[in-house]
Amino acid sequence: MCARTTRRILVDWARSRKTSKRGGDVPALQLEEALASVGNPGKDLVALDDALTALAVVDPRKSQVVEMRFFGGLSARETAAVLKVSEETVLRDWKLAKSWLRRELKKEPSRGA
Amino acid sequence: MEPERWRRVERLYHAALELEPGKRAAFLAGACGGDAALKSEVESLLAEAEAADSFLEAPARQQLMEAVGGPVRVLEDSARRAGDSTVENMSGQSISHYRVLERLGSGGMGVVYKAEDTRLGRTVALKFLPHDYAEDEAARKRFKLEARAASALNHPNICVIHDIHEGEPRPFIAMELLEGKTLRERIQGRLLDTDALLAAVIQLADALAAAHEKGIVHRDIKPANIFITARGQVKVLDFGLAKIAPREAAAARPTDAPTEAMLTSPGMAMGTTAYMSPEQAQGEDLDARTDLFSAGVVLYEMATGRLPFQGKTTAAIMGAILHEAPTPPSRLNPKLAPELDRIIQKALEKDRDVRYQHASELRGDLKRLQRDTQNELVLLAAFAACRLYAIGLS
Repeated sequence: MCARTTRRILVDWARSRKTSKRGGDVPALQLEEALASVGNPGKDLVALDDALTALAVVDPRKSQVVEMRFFGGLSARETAAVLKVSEETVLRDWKLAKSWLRRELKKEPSRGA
Repeated sequence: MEPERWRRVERLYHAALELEPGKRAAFLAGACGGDAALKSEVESLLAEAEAADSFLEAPARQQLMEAVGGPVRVLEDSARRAGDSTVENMSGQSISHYRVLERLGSGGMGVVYKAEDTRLGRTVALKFLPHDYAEDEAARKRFKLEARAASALNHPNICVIHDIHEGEPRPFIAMELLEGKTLRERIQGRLLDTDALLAAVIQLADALAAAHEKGIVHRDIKPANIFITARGQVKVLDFGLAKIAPREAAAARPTDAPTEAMLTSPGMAMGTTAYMSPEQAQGEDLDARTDLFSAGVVLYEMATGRLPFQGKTTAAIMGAILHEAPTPPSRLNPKLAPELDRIIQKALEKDRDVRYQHASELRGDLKRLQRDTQNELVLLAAFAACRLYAIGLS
């Protein structure tokens, strides 16, 4: 699935950013900051990725829904079409998955960021 | 967790959400029976339900885009076109070796028509100038010299001038026919991301560098004089023409309404006020650095959606240009890269000695910023590609 590739690219990028504190030419962008500004409780992308992997163990489809919608940018209807479920199901999955992820992200408060 | 148990959690979670918050505890107590672990599992998820609504709601792609600095909304420009009605329709006429085809619009110095060059069999644009475009013989002579110099500019980002016609029925300039829009039309109520903004201004700086090297100063850099072709190539219009504008028109006209200050009329000058450099507003002798100030105003407008120097009258605008520090662009658009903020401020220095001294210097700073944001843009492209791919699969 291509949303997964995007996720990998982004997360690898976030990881490399965390490990190598580059010098003066670090671009102004911090995706982590952008994420934090929309209500992510101080977590970075790497933590989100880990949580999503954990969710895939409990419920693979919900993890996929988040991947497609957040990383792939698909709408609920598009996600439903790809997964061959109803839009209603996608919305329910989306809601529960996000609650689950937020709870998961709170569990490990400091991930070295 | 066992799949069966997880399905129970899921069912209870959604069922509880249907209820009013006050009734959920009692519902769960009943539904979970003595299973305290199940109850606490559902409760801990419900505790996040409300906050979850806004969580991850904007796709990563969009957040990245915003974090990179754009899109920025540019002011709706309510200015109307003026002066067209005073010029008769030239369509169908033959002038010199040109056959006038259709009217394309107006801007800069006059009204523009599409025409056929019957000698060379190519299509060109003819820009008809007002009769009184040059008041006296000296101005006329200067115009010819300037136009000749401008026509010698061979640069991909400068609109080519082919020919000048001075006689009856009306003086005109024959130039390269371009397809696209002026920056002024382009930014009206549209979104311009940092990528597009940088790409455009780098080309503008490149054109200015080439012209300045040949000793040609534009003097009237503004969105209406910056053309963007259908392929995204910038073409600076009207090089060398600003100087032929009647001087009085450029001087203060205290009753001009702010919308009129935006107008591009055949007599121009008024539309120029907001983009004037301090030395220009004071009527001093100009050098290449005036163009860099005006480019800074254009950049400011693209990045924030508003003009740096505003006023209800031309005189007030000039006062602002001379004495007021513009609001830092980053305060109007917090998403702006700090470096772009710095570049704009340096271009807008009132004292030309501390401003950018050469267009190549401005271009260098912009290119460095472009390179630094490029890595982020590659990611944006990946998002876009993946989205298309995913939809294609459905």
